[in-house]
Amino acid sequence: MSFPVLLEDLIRSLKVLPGVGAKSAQRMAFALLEGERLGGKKLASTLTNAIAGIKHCQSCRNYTDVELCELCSNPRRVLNGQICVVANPSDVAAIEQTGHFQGRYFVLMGLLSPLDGIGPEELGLDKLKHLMQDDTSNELILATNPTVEGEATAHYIAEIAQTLGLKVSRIAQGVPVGGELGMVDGKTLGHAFSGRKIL
Amino acid sequence: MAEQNVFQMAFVLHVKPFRESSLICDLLTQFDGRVSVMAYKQKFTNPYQVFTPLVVKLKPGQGDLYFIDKLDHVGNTLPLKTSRLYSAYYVNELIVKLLSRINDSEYFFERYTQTINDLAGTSDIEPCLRQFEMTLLDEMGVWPDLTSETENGHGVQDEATYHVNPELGVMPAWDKHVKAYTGRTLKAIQGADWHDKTTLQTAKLLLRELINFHLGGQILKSRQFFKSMNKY
Repeated sequence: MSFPVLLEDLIRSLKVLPGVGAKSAQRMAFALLEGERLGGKKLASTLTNAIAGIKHCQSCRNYTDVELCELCSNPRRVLNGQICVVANPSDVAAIEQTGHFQGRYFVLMGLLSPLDGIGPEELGLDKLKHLMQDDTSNELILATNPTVEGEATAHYIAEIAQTLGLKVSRIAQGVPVGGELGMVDGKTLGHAFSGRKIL
Repeated sequence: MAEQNVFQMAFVLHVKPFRESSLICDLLTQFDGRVSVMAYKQKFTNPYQVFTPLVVKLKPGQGDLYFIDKLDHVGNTLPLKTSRLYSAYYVNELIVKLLSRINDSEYFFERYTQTINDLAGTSDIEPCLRQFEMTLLDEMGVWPDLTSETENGHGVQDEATYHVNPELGVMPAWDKHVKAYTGRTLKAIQGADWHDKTTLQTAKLLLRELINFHLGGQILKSRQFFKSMNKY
């Protein structure tokens, strides 16, 4: 069965979202048209404004609607001197939720992966180097995922930081809070042992 | 057709997410050569990491896509760091971009395993890579026998000079604008005799020329890792 052209367009457009296939897109389109016309209008205008207004922060590359994001323009965070390097904006949100880190971030927007066409140029490492050379910077914390790509990226950045004489650290890996040792995989437990703390 | 009901060793060459809960992995397997498989994501860890030995059993999916029937064993990720890791990425990228089909799967898998293990160890990087590049071109069926002239089969002479053309093979040097190699160097490269440093350097240039020809303009991103490192 074919739908009117506008409806077909709407369904096709909704399919750009991750995890949304033809069926889900069709269901969403019908939901918007049947009971959520006002919500749909608001969604359309918000989407237009967001796409036009949201860009990358000049300093950390996180999403922002101004030149410098809220975290980068906070003098307390700048004076802290620590820069935490993460792969994605969602990682910033996760770390911020912990409340343990008071410095600035740098968002790579990906990890080194030659077969995905992501090399050092795509990760904005020239900007990161600029940030590392800032007088206030005193430590680089590498918080990329503990995957091969995450480790490769961390080591690549660590080499650059070491040439600049900056202190470099890597986030610890180990047993999750509330977890049971018997349920933890061997590799993680190995990391937990090698990174143990003296009490 | 993948070998079913058989456990076999495999390495992930490349992995990309598919929908919310799945992954599509490009595997290099012991018996089936290169295979694309769909695997389900696991909650906290992803066992499908590059440079990590796996033992898997495959089952047919749709067309050329297979499913992981059983993931029997996940070994330790090889301890590759810095330039050794970028070199291993280079090896994976070469396979993905140049070798869509493997005839002698077991031999090629053994060579791949040996190469990345050597890279993870203390062996010199350059001989490892040259050896692998030669194996790869041989598997593609485009590696010329460097010890004889391709057209007439005459053995190359130590002191004579030769051109190596990606399509025409080895021929006596006649054009001074084209890179020429001595017969002695060609024999050393063919025999993987890397005692002389200049042989290794010459082999690098020769293999790069051949590989670039067969890449047909595709760029190897992993090569940029080395170039960019000097830039920063």
